[in-house]
Amino acid sequence: MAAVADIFPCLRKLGATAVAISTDSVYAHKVFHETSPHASQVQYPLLSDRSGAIARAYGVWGAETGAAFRATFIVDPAGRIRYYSVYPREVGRNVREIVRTLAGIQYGEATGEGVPAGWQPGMPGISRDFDLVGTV
Amino acid sequence: MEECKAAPPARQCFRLEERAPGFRAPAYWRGREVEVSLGDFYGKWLLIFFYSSDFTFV
Repeated sequence: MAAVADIFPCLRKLGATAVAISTDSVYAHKVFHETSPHASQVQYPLLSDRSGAIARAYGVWGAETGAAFRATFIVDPAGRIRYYSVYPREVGRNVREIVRTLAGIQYGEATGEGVPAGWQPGMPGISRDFDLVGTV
Repeated sequence: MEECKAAPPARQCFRLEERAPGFRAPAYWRGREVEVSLGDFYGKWLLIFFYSSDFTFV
């Protein structure tokens, strides 16, 4: 969760907040936060999903391991899922892509423009004018 | 979500732009044990990070 902590200020700037969810107990979360140099940087709630019910509801439950997959969801202010990704067990998340995606959703909503491949915050979008189809 | 209950446990039961499944769970936050639910975040952008276990990498 330290990589998420690193980008947390970026998320706050975009008006977002975060929660992290695992099947650990709140007691494990407490000790994790107190003893891990990385976890002590975590500025958001660590939720305890002991039964895995939340992970099941989100379709990211690993039945063989009794733990959730490394999955990320962006939920908009109306409570709708706007993005999700699930990583293989072997690989950690690219948190910068998550920030980019959130910024892109917000940019698209604010401007009505398309957000092209490789777009980064600060770059222009693409007009959705039908006359431009095939020209950009 | 009805078909979700009958489906295998790890079945994906939502689509993009559909409502996020509600939840309520105990949480550790700022030195305290608190209850956190999805409804606490309505009106805000929320990122949900599932991870397998404390003391593992991201």
